[in-house]
Amino acid sequence: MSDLSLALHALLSRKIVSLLSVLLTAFGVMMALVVLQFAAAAQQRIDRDGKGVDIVIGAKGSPLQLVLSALYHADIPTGNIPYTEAEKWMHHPQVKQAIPLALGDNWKGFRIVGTTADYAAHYGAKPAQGQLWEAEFEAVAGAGTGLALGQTFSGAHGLGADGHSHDHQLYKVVGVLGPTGSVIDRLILTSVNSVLALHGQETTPAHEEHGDHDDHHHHHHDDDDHDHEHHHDHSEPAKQPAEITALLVKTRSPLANINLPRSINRDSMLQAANPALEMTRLSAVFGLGTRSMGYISAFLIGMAALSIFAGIAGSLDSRSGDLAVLRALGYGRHRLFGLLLMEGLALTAGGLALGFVMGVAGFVLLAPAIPALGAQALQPDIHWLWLALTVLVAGLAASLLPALRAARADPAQLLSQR
Amino acid sequence: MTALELTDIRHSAGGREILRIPALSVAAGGRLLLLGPSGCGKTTLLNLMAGLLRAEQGHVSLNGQAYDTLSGRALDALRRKYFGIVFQKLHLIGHLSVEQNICLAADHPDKTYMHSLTDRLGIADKRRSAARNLSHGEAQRAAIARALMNRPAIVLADEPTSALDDAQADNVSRLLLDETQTAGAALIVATHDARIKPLFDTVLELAP
Ligand SMILES: Nc1ncnc2c1ncn2[C@@H]1O[C@H](COP(=O)(O)OP(=O)(O)OP(=O)(O)O)[C@@H](O)[C@H]1O
Ligand SMILES: [Mg+2]
Repeated sequence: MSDLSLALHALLSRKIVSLLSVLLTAFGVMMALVVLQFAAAAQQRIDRDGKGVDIVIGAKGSPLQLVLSALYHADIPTGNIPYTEAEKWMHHPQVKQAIPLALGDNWKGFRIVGTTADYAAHYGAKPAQGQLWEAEFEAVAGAGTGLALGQTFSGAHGLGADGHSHDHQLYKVVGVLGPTGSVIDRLILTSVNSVLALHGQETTPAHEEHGDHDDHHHHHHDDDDHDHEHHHDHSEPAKQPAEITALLVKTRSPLANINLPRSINRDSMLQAANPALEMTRLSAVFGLGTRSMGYISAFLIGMAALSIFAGIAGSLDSRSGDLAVLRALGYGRHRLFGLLLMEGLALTAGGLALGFVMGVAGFVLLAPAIPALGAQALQPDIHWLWLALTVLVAGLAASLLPALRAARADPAQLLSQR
Repeated sequence: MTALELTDIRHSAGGREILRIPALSVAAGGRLLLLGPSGCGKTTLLNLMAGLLRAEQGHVSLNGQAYDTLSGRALDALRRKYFGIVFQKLHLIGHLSVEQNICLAADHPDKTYMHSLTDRLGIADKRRSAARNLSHGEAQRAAIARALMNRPAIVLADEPTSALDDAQADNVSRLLLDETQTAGAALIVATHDARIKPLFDTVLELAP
């Protein structure tokens, strides 16, 4: 009979205590895994959705709220801004690209975003069916919205799923984007004017604005460079929106990421926020959440280690005869020591395996319930290895003292007891 | 040929000298009965022979190898190789099966030998029973099988008959004698039970 099966038989002979140790270990591991998994998934999403946007410009208010609402579509906007104000910065020499966003409505909780084709291009989204919008009230649906090509729908006021709907004006889905794994999958895109028209915003014909010489110059510069899709061939003259919600800005230099927001915040009625900065600040807070969950999992693993200690140490008295008889049968002290360490390790390994299964299952079950994270694939990483090692070491440490006690016991004395 | 040899042994326990043995030897395949009243030091003497205790004074040696020259680890190995022990309280491991208990005594258990032992001892049908469910008689047979499993040179049996009636005592004694004879092992029995005295050619009476 191998020492391992001898250890397993001993564990099975005290099923309830062993099961308790395994379950405590498993819950601790599961908790730690879920924390690791959600933290990794959240960070990945923050990185992916925020990639390539250096500055967010919008109405004054909380900069974090501005970033969350305009970049991650996870908060309500700080307000709207006059297009003429925004336009000044769109054509600033330090600005490489500026994408306007007009928010305000949703369909079944999916935000309807008035924007330009640049927005789809920014996330690498291309129509899998149909094409991008051209006329007003043509919409392009993100891959995860469930909207089908040709479907019509009415936008509901607000950004939650329960606002009153604009039934008098229907959107028509003219395109469905392929999946990108980014926030755009859960958005419905249309022109800026479509969103604002529903909110009684005046739109001014573009040619009237051409009176402003500065604007005119930059506008053409913009067109030539990369904004080819800004204007399509319409029979009616292109109109400029009076108000938008935010601008997503890509700058020309890292220095501009600092200087531009500074001058915008100082010299204009607008607010500029640096998303990287705001998200770092947010994760300092969000980190608190995962950290306290981390403490709970560490506490559970600690309790598991204690229960392993108690289980083995508590069994020593009742099985001193069993252990002494092994010594009499020629098992050395070191072999008895190893046998008890094996019991601790077997319990932790069992708990570890169960915890991983429960953690993976837990994530698969929980992820759809937290839409901000979307359906992420599991990402085993180096942290899993560290977790496993930590837990095994805890189990080993917990069985160390009882193992030493058993190894030191005098078999002759124990055999004459009982 | 002398297998086990004790010289000038003095051993005390609880501050009292309980054993004083000037010279004692057991030949290979020999039989020795250690007879004496309760508390005279029989179990202590068996422990000294098996290397489970180290003598305070004097020497124990097996096949010329003195125990006091051996490390604890070497003594454990020597015990595993040369000794089979039937304990006064049997000490089977309750949650293991009879078969598992018997096989614990050998590193590479010879299953055929285990089967022939349990067959001869009449516990073949109990091989897979948990040791804790055995009757006392069955447990005693299982303990004897375990003591023989490693084909030891010397079998030590501590009070194998004390709790038994005459017929059972005779039966167990004969089992031990027959099995050790078959295996070619020496047998040393410690008991206060004078009933089995006639079965042994050498008897050492220990003073209380
Ligand atoms: N570890 C110990 N500490 C103190 N006294 C001990 C110890 N071991 C044995 N003794 C004492 O030594 C004496 C001999 O004990 P031992 O167990 O060898 O007797 P025994 O002949 O086997 O008795 P029994 O027939 O009751 O089994 C007893 O008086 C016992 O109390
Ligand atoms: Mg005794």
